[in-house]
Amino acid sequence: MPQVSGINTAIIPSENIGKVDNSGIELTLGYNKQFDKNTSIFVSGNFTHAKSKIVDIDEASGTPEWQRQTGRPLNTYLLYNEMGIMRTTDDFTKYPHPTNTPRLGDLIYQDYTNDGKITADDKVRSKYGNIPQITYGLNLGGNYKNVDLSVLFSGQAQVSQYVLPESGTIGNFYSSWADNRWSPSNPNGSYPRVDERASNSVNGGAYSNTFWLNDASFIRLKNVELGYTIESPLLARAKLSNLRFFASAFNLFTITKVKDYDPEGNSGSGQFYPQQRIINLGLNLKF
Amino acid sequence: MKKVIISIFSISVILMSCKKDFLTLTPTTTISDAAILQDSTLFEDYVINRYMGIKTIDKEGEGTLPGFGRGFEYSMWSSNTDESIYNNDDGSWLIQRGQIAPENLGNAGAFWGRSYRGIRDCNWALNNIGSVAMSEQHKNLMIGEIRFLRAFRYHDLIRNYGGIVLVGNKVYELKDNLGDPSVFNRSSLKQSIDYAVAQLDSAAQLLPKDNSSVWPLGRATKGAALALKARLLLYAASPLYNCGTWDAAAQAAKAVMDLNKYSIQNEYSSLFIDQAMNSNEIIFGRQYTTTAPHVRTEIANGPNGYDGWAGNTPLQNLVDAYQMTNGKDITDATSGYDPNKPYDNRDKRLYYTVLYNGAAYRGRNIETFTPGGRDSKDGPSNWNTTKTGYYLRKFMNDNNPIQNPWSSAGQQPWIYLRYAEVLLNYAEAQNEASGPDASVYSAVNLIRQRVSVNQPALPTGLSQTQMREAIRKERQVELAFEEHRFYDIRRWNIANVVENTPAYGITVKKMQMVLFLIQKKWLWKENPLLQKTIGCQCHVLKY
Repeated sequence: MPQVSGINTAIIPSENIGKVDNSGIELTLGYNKQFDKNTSIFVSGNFTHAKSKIVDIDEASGTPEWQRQTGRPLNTYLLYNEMGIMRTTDDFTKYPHPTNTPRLGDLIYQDYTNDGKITADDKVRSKYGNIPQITYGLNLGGNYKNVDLSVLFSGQAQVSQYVLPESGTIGNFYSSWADNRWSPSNPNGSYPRVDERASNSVNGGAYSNTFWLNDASFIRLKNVELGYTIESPLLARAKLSNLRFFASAFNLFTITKVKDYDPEGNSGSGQFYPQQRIINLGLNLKF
Repeated sequence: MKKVIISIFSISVILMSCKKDFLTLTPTTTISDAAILQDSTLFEDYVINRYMGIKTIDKEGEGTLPGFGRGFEYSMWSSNTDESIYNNDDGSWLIQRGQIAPENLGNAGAFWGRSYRGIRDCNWALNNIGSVAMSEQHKNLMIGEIRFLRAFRYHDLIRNYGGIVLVGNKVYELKDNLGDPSVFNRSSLKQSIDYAVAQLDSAAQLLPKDNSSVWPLGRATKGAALALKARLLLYAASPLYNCGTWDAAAQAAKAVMDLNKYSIQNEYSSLFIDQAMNSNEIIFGRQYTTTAPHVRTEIANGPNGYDGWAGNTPLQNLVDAYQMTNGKDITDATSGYDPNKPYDNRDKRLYYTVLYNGAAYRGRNIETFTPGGRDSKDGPSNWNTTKTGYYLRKFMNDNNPIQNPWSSAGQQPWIYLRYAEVLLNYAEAQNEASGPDASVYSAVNLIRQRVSVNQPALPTGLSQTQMREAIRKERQVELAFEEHRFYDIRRWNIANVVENTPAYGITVKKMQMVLFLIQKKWLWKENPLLQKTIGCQCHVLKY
């Protein structure tokens, strides 16, 4: 809606517009086996592949193809492609930069349109959004005599999450950034120079870029529980019908490329509470 | 039994079928167009609400909806130019850094959408006022008012964008072809200003000279329309616009002076904090109340040692513009300026505008010195300390609490048009049109010799160029933080110079050891390398 028309806030009622196609498959496979009185196992896995595709969304008709949301999944990002760090002053002439005052330690952005300038047209839409296209789980376990075990893995793939924590005069830096930042004394640092505020830095929020976009795939040992049930005539005397010791743990480990934060978080500023690792020891009593 | 059930059923069917359009409701949360036109009070309320606009960007409309320009917001318009730096960004840093781009206009992104919405709303009122039951006399007042409001929206557009799309009386509807090229047809700068000026001429004919019980303070008057016209014509004559004459600009300002209604108030600082807006100097302003406040200026701009958030911190570039009390610039070797006592014997407006190290404020002196100063980075909440060494004094009401101000503060008026500006507009235009005659001196000296300012009169015998410089300096200090500087340096074509000057601050070092008993503070003025200092590297003003 052109603003010149004056038709904006509260003149047009809110309305649901847009169209998204969703398609995918969902599989669940399970297997249980009782070998004998003392031994049993179970395995069950699930797998979901769900793909969304935007068919119609309120998008300016002149949007370049590489930036369009139409035809792509939901929740994708529009970012500059990051191509490294300016380490020598030669880089200032070699690569176009968005401002007139490039500095060593700045990120290099891809000139997608090849016009010798970094402009908003050089932003490119990401392949994946922060909704995973693949999610899966694996649940297995069994009993042997008095011992019981159950294990649950879960994971996701084909998913991206952008996280740029507010760092500087407001907010702290993740140690991986602070320790590995480019600086005159650390010219080979793998992170860009630190700035007054990440959210409006030329290397951060002012030119949101793929440096801060992570492949948020992971596989995680979500839950594991090991138990031991005591059977003894003494129990009956103590008027107990059952006594079981167990140890359980949540989030024992996670395999992921994401550093510093929880790959299940979905806040672009990193403002989410990470999932905790919990270890329980306990016993069940039944009377 | 069966019969009873059947009859109940049939009754309910009949009842339900009575109301065929039960899905078509009259909304109870909004007022329909028809209702506004049927009730003259509602219609008047609708028009009065056009003094406000819509919120179109983040970080604006704090407390109440924005009016014209930017006004009291967290990052003020002054922080987009060489007057101040806003401590917390809020869409001002990318303008200071020269990173403004079509896809990101920062806090400057509000004007386009808000203004055209206001214009559409005004057009609707103008096109429909004929059907409202109201006396012809009052109708005419309101037609003048609507034209004034619409012209003010165009003023916001013109001074930010230049030549813009003139919509006329058109009220766009959804069924219109909004992709038509005519919707986007930009008029020339001259056409745009001519249109707005014609609207203001018409408004000035219709609007009353004075506010009254039927036309309360805050609503536009003849003087407001003429003063806005004078500003637009001054812009038109300026080098950047170059589509009008200085003579027309001088005449327009003279017309406001000839109303003999306005004068320079004795007190400078109280002008900006009197909620009642009782001053003959104020031509047009916006008042606020407890329930409709603006940003709580004292906490938003206060020093960290007072639990304030620093906010819009004045730059050394502005501080240096204030003359000495003898009327000489500090750069003048004979001025008596002492870099070790930079705040002694300065134009009093510096003290009314800026808080500096040692300035008395709320029962103690400002301490921006290090080490140990309570208002420096050694003080509490050091992220709220100033980067420039200064804090804002203008607009601060010392009766408002800094801590926990939420139910009381935020009620200073925002002055859109005041007489001092008109006098400066006149002086500038008249000097350009016919040289520094007596009327030019008189207009500038009225401002310089305001009772509470009491600067010496301008020295006689100035050349036209010297007078031009004097007027520009006078505007910079007199109208600081009032949304003039940003536009002035552009229309004078000096923005590329003054905004590419590094943004200076000051650090104040406290002498160590015995000496500090004798000379407690030693001031050290930063050199231009300040921009390379970590923490300040971002404040190179660029355009």
